[in-house]
Amino acid sequence: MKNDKFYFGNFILISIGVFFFIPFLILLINSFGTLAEYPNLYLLKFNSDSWKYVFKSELMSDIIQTLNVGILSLILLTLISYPAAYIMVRGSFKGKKIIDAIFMLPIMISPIGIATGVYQAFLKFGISDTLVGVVLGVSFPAYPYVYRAIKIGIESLDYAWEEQISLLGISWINSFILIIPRMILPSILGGWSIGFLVAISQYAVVLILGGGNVMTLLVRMMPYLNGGTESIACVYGIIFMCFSMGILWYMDYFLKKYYHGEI
Amino acid sequence: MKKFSKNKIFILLLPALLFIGGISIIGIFESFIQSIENSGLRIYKRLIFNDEYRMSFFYTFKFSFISVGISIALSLIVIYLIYDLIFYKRKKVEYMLYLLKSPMIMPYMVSAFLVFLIFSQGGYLSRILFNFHIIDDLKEARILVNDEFGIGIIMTYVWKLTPFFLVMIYPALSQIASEEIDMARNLGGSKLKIFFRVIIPYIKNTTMFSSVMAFIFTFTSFEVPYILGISYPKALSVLIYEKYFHGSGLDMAMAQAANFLIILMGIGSWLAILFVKGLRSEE
Repeated sequence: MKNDKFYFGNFILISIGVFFFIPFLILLINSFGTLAEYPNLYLLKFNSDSWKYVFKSELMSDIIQTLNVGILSLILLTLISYPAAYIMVRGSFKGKKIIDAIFMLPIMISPIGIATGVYQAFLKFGISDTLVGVVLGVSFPAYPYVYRAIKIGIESLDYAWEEQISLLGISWINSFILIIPRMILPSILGGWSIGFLVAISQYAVVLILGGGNVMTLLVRMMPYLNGGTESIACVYGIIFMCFSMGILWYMDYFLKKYYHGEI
Repeated sequence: MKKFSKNKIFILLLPALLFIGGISIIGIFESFIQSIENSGLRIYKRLIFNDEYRMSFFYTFKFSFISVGISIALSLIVIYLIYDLIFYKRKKVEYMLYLLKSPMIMPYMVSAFLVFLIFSQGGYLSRILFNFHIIDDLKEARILVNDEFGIGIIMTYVWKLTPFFLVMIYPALSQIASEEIDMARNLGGSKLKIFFRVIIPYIKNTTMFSSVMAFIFTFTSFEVPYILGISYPKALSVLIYEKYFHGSGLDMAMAQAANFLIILMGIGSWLAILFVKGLRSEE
């Protein structure tokens, strides 16, 4: 009886899993040419025209620009969230709850909501339509995730370690900058994965704050979605996902080596 | 806990607070200022009586609510199916969850696009149905994308939000000790009963918090309704975007007014959560 139930549940789970996985395949198939006229299911011309088109265009600069946005955003986020997370965990002072809540604000205030307002301010500061503005803009929604990950990392680091470090005569500053990050590296990498993903998945923010000067992969992709060139959009979609999966995989790989003591 | 000097605390917190607080305040402030530029505070009255914005609000609320509702239901179903497996077949469960989490990698734009490819009148599903003689003509295919109910939009969000809920709820779920469930089973509880009496109380808080987050996110999002929506009513974010960038001064002011109200809604929910959390914790 129990086996029957399990089998049925298994079946449902597998179908849900498949259901979630098929779209990836469709993206791949559709990138190789246009669908024949309705109602045929075969591809009219199985070719790699779209792929050639994309690779001949400014793909490399788009990828580099996307990487720029992502990595700069991560650097900024780590620099500001690590100290904050540390003091929130280790220090004792009033107002922690409110500060924690403030750090969760980006989740409640959508980035698009403030993008138009922030753009006006950036105009006055002269950083509108620049990479700097975009990095600031995409860092905002990504902050809570990086902050939370690092905070959890520090929480799980027994304070005894820090005591031991100071007993060995190492100053707090050295410990804070050089040693502790190394010890909570897995959490930091986890935060980086999500933060990076959130940062490069932003479209509206990059469009508004970048004003066309900052072309990330998604911004480049959007016009092709609404037009008739679906296969090109598919190509960009696949490139984007390979890109993000590649980064995530690399972080995973790095983590494994860390745990095996090779780093 | 070590005693840190007030200065040190201040310095360590300052960059983050400055960044988050600064951008929030600038965004909110500028939004409000721009909204009253044209006709002062009367713009809000005009906004509330504006048909287009009102229809847009209800449309957006509807599809957001339905999307989040269906996603929660789906994720709860999955949890119901796997909760007892977590204890003696954890590897299997985590592998399955890995599959279910896969949509998270795909950005919303691409997901919306895929829904379009599959479910549009000339899309994959329609062609498959035609070839199986279920429908006889392109025009018979139900309009599932760019429709007035936002079915395509809802499908996209359900596809993306269900993994989100699973990811958020799973940690709370794995904290339940297996002994509790064994005990409940010994006392004669069926799988369903245990689900409602034991599992739900544990995951209630996380679920509610995630739902609010997801609802606000869906309500204010732009990309999906932009690709899959129709011309009337538009989703609120799309309407605001278009009025702001392609409208007259009055349009821009009204757009910012609507924007400001949405921000207020977000802050309201934020305050509500803060309040509820404050009531609940003993810190």
